[in-house]
Amino acid sequence: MLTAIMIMLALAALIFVFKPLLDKTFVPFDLKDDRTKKLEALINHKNKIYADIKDLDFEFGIGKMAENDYRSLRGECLKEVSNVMKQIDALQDGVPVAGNGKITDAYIEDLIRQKRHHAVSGEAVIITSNDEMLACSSCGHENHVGAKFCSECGAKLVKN
Amino acid sequence: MNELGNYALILAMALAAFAALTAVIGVRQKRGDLILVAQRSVYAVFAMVVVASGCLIYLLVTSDMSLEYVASYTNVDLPVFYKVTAFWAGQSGSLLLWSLVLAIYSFAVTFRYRHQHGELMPYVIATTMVTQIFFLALNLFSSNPFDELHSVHADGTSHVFMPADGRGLNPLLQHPAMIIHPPTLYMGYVGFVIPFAFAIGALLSGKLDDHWIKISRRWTLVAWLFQSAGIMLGGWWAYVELGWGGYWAWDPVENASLMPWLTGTAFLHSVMIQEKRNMFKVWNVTLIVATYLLCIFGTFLTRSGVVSSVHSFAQGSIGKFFMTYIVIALCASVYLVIHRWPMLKNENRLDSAISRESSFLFNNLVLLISCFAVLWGTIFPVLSEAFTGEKIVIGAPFFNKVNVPIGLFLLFLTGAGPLFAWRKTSLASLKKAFLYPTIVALAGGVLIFFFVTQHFYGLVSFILTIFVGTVIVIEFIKGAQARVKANAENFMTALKNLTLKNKRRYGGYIVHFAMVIIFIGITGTIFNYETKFEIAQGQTTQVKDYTIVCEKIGFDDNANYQSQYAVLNVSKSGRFLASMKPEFRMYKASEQPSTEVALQKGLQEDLYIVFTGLDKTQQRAVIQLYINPLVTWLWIGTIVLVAGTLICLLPNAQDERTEIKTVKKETIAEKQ
Repeated sequence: MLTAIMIMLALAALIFVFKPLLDKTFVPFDLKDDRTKKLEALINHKNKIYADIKDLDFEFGIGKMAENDYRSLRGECLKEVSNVMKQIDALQDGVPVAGNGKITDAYIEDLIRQKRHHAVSGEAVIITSNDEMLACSSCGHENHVGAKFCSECGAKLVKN
Repeated sequence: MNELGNYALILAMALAAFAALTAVIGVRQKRGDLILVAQRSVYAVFAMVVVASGCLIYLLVTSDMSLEYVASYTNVDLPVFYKVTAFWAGQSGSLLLWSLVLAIYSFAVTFRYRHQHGELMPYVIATTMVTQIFFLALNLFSSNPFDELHSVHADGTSHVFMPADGRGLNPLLQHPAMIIHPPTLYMGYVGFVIPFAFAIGALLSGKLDDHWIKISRRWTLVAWLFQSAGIMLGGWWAYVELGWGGYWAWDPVENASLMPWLTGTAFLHSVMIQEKRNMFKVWNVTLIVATYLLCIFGTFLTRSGVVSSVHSFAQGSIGKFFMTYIVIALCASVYLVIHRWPMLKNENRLDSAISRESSFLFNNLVLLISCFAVLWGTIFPVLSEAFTGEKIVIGAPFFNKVNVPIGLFLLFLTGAGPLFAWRKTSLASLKKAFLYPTIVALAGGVLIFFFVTQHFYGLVSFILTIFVGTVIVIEFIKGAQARVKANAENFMTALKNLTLKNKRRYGGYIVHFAMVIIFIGITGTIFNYETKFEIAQGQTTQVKDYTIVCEKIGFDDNANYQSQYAVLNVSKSGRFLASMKPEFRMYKASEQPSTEVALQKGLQEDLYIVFTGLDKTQQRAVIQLYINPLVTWLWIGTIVLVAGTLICLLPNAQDERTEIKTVKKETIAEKQ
């Protein structure tokens, strides 16, 4: 009885562990390409500077920081974040990516559908990257919801 | 059932080795299928360790005395509750608990990040599994809880031997705190394996960007929470069970739990600098490696018997395994840091010497000095024996002499740190920030000097607790006022939103406040009072404000122990307080004596009574009485500490992102 339990335990473990190899299903190593990863890193960097600015605002607001220090450090942060955003824009030139940096099947399908639509209508098409921002299909620049023209290249933005 | 447990351990070890191997091959060959196999192996390891642990619990509960472990730590009449807690009463069971907790953590981390950090996670899996292999190997080859008792016959043959009853559980471990103290502390010790695994993963993969540091910070916080709670629960157990009137004795094993806590605390502060400023990368890796090694070292101290301790319930020959593993892990970590040195360079410089960053650096240095002092005092007996042949034991006076001033300085930094702004603080704003807390603290100090105590350290400690407390209260008020102004909220709503929208900052402040409360409790030690007296049934005695009437001296006998006790009716300043029943027990199976303390807790002071036995005439109870002021504040501080840490651990709310949006708009303007 005990031997049977032991054999079953070992078998169950082996089947569970080796199932992906037995099924021969393709499991991608990494879902993200280099460009997406670089973009993610830049977005992270951008958010980090935003958080820094938020901290500076807060600490100045509660009187922990002198005004001249606050102004100069905040200015530095804004310059830095602008540089990062330019890099993001340069990287996004061409194929835009989803706002959270992940390329999903649904997103790719959506992209193809929009490309087709673009080819038929000849209009610049906006691609929804997340709830708040809209990416321009011409240059990939993220615009605020409600904008009629891209703030970067001037292309007309049309909602799907 | 013991065969099944043993078999599950062998399977777990084989699967752990397989998981480590496939994870590394998978990431080297960029094979997603192999990494999935490695992940599933981790889940299987978890299942096997759970099966092994289940087997041990079953064997303990059913009192299978053919097992050496069951016979050594339980007896048939031991309550079921304590039979279960005997799981971690001895060396091999404790090591299995280590494996179980690590298997739980590994499962949780692997499952949580199964679709993320593709290049980092396989190395994390490999690192956790190597640690898992080490502890499973200890169980299998050095200290196995499933070993049977054997009797050797005259003809040289040996047979399984089953005694009628076991030796019983150490009476000191027969306390409700033992359900929760060891597992909580182990959750802390073992939890530090996870940030270490991410650090090693980052070094091996070369992915030394923000990801590993962000994940590590959260898991370190989890481990730190358990470690803090475990240490305090240990103090509580010592206080209510050991019967010597205190909660901390600088015992080597207590020190062993404190050392990784100190380095972990340093890491939790310095990690913020790396997150915000990309600085101190080598420092952070060093701290987390040190924390991990101190955790392994702590387990080694507890279980090797190399130093004598109240906790070294079992001694064994596993010391050399531990030392070998520690040396290998240290060398591998040092090699990796050197190998990745160019990638670990600072990306920024300190903007100013007067900043939050520099205060954190300072606090790190002080924490490490404290850790080194504790380490030195703990291993000194071993070193002195190795070099001089004579074991020189260092007692509490050394630790107190060194650590009391360091602790007070750390307390000061707990209050001073929040007064510094990130990056740069002007002297004028710093003076302003220090002004009110200093005035309040000094005013409080004058009152304490004249009305409470003139004890130097006591006075300094009280002044600093007032200073730090005032700083934190002012920080909350200022923050809330800023919100009231900006968002037109009422003060209480602003206070709540302030905390919930800046969880790390204000959760951290709550933890700092908890330290203030804990320090109040510790400072109470200077007022401790103790006395010993004999009292017969019907007699009355007076100790300070307490009037004690001995109502009864009695005897009890049950299956587990025999006991003598006294029923003492206690009044304070003429008002009835409580009927207290201190006990002296003799446990039958283990033939060991134990005292059950009678404790009357209070915010102002605890009345702590120990029945040490009967006098020569057998008519009078010999009573040891302690009056311990402010001890309750230690336990209150612990609850506040847990609450503050939990706030830090809460996930970020969506609304924090909306606040960032306003900054975004300005950035767009700047860009254009």
